[in-house]
Parts: sequence; C-alpha cells; structure tokens
Amino acid sequence: MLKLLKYEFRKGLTGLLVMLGITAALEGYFLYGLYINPEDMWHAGWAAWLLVLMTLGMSVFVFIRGVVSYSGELKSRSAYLIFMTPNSTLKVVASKFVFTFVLGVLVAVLYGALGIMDITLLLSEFGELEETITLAAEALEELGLHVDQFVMAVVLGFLLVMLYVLALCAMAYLAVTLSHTLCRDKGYRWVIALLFYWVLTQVMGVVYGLFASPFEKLVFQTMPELQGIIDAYGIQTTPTLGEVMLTLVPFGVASLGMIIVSMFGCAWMLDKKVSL
Amino acid sequence: MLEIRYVTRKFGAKYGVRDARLTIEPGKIYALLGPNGSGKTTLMKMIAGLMMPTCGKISLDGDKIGPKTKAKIAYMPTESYFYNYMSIMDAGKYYRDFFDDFDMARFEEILMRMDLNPKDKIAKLSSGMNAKVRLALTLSRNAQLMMFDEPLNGVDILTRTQVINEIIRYRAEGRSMIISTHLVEEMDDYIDHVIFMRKGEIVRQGSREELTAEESLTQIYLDIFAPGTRAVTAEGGAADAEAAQV
Repeated sequence: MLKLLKYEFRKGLTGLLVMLGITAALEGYFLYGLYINPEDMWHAGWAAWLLVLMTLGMSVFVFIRGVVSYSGELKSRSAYLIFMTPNSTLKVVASKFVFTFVLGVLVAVLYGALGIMDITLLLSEFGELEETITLAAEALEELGLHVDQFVMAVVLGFLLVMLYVLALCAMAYLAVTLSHTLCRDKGYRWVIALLFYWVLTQVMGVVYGLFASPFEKLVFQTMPELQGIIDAYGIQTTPTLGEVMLTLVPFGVASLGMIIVSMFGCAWMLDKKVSL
Repeated sequence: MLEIRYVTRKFGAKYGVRDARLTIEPGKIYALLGPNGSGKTTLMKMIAGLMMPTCGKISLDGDKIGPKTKAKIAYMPTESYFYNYMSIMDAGKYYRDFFDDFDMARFEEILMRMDLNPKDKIAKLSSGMNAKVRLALTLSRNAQLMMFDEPLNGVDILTRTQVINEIIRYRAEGRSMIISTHLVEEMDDYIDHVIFMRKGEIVRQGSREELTAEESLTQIYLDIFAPGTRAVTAEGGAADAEAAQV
C-alpha cells in the first residue's frame, strides 16, 4: 500500500507544488501588507481574502484531482502500470482514496495552521491577543459553552464534515467506475457519471435524513435564550454536549459505510467488468 | 503451466476472442500470429489480468488470474504506458518496487546494450526507443511467463534483430514466452510453437517443426489469411509480392 501511495503522490506532485507555490506567494503578499506596508491595509486585506479563496480552492482541488486522475487513468494506457502489478484492485482503489484522504487532511492542517498563524499575527499587530481570546471565551461562557467543550465540538464537527466529504468523494469514484463499466469509450461518459453521482448523493441524503440534525441540536442546546423557539416548534434538544456528540455517531457511521461500499463496489467492477 | 479453457471476450455484440483453448507449456517460445484485429492483444491482456474474459477460465499453475499470477507474468504491452514524468530509470525503479523478480542489474545491462540513457524522459523517446524500454523492463523480470505484444512494431530493421536477440538471450528453462506478431519471417527461426488467430478464434496451432514440415510459416500464414496467394521466395518463383505484404 505504501508503494502505491508513493506513486500516487509522485503523480500528483506537480499540481500540488503549483498550488502550494501560489499559496506561498499569497502568504508573502499578506506578510508584506502586514509588516512592510502596514499603512495601507488594502494589501493585507486582499491577501487575506485571496488566502481564504485559496483554501477553498485547495479543498476542491484535492478531491477533484483525486476523482479526475482516477477517471483519466481508467481510460489511459498508464493504468497498465498499476493494474499489471501483483496488487488486488481493492488495494489499488483504496490507495488512491487513502491518498486523497491523507492529502485532504494535510491540506486542512496546513491551511488551518496558516490561518491560525495569520490571525495571531493580525491580532498581535493590531490588538491585544490575550484580551481578545479572553473576550471570546467569556462570550462562549455566556452562551453556556466552555472553551474546552467548544473546541471538542469543533474538532468533532470537523471530523464529521471530513467523513462526509470523503463519502462524497468515494461516491464520485463509484460513479466514475460505473460510467466506465457501462459506456467506456463513449463521449457522454461524463454525463452518465454525473447522473450516477447525483443518484448516489440522493441516496446518501435519504440515509442521513433518517437521523436528527445534530448541528441544530448543538446550536439550540448552547443558546438557552432560544428556548422560546425550541418550545414553539417542538424541537427536541439533548441535555448535554456529550449527548449531542453521540447524535453525531450515526452520521459518521453512515459516511463510513458509504465509503466502504463505494470502495468494494469500485474494486468489484474493475475486477469483473472494466477493460483496461 | 498456463491453461486457457473455452475463453471468450465480447465487446458488445462483437467477439474479441472466441472460445479459445490453449495450453502454454514451460520452457517453450510461442508465436501468436495473426493480422491486426485478430484477438492477439485481447488474449494477452486477459492472461496479464488487464481484462476479464466474458466466459471461460484462465489459470497459471492452477491459480485463477489475479495478484498471485501477476507476480509470475511479465507483459510487454504494444503501446507506451508510462507516466509522463517518468525517466527510463524511474520506470526501472517502479518495476523494482512492485515486482520481487525484477533484476535492476540486468535492466541496466540491457539499457547499456541497447544504447539507452537511463536519464532520458520516456515521453520524449521515439516509438522504437520506447519499445526498447518496454522490452528491457519485461526482460529484466525473472518471470515464469513472459509475453511480448508486437515487440517489433515501430522498430527499424536493425533494431528488430537486436530486439529478437535480447528476447532469445533470456530464454530459460522453465520460462515460457509468448510473442505476438504479424511479422512472421523475423521470428521463424526461434519459436517452438505457433498459434494462428483469425477474427478472435484460434484457427490453427502446433509445433513449428510439425507445421513447417511441408511449407514455410509465411506460406501457412498466407493460406490462412489470404488463401490462394503464394509467398515471395528468394528465387522469385511463384511469388506474389502483394500477398506477402498481408
């Protein structure tokens, strides 16, 4: 698996370096605006805005790259390189998916760290950092939420969103494999893939709909002043943050289930139906 | 031993390979002969595990085609299949990473004999040079079964001899080789067994000695694929140059 991951990384290296290069340039522009030309906040502001856009672009890039690269490989001769090796198709597909996952996590960590660093720099340059944090913590306490609880909820929420995005990504792999199975050399293959993807996301939506919305509960639980709304609409809330977190579990399990089903589905179709 | 039992591969309503039955024995060189579109590549891809038969069974030493057999089969596809970033040495390292039987020293040796620079980007090589790289990679594996799909395609006459010599050099006891080609004469002296394919079907097969007892392979080829034409001979007798180009 590690060797497969190594070559996945090598294949995606050029695109990744380009994106990181652009990010580095924007970060440089931000630091220029902050320290070298602080009188004109226009520069730092623009750079910060572009960095936010870049973060979004990078998130999309990671997942789109994974799916597009997989789709391209299925119709190109370079597929021989992987599929003639003594690796099971499940291992091959899983390696592509794991690579996308690892890249997604690394990008999230990198851009998260960059964001924290830039905000810290901004605060230290234009305000008392400690005072701001204390104020934020006090605001959270007023909403009935301790900082540690808030951090935990954010981390859990992040993991949940990550799993959800990965499930979407796995379904995209499945849709691409299905379209290759049914209409390999047809020009409208992409339309079929999109159609399959839409159907799969609808199925996923139905599965998620079976569970209560955890974020809704989280918000209302932590904002007691909204009790009137809760009573008026008969919204059920859970008494503790721990229980709210428990309500997240089915979503995580559903996403994980979708990922596993998609991976096995891809491997099965590649084994039985797809010609390289 | 490779066993192919009643293997069929369909592409929509068309047959790529139809009802193929074949046994590949250890230590022998097999020539898979037939014009373009006769099913040679499809058959090889199924043996290499790159394509599944619609029905029938292929097994190597009793194992169904899969990761285990892929470790024992070296396949040289007819087209380039490398990643754009790869240099010749990158491709060697790739094979070393995935195939336990890959011999890097032998790879470097073959590259040197074939006058290939390991640092060259494969994407920038001519088709003939590219064929040499594919050949070097395949021959550098100590595989039980080696398959070469049209190794002489896009290769000039001088290089053809070099390619054939390299293939024969690594002929070994217990190792089977399958070479697909439509250039019959070039391979004539080296093969043990001949398989003729037409429109997806194996129409004739047998040992070379047996088949060539009365007529040349080229003539048998013409009899099968262009009946009524005669092969060009050195003496010029009964020649039909046009037919020989089939």
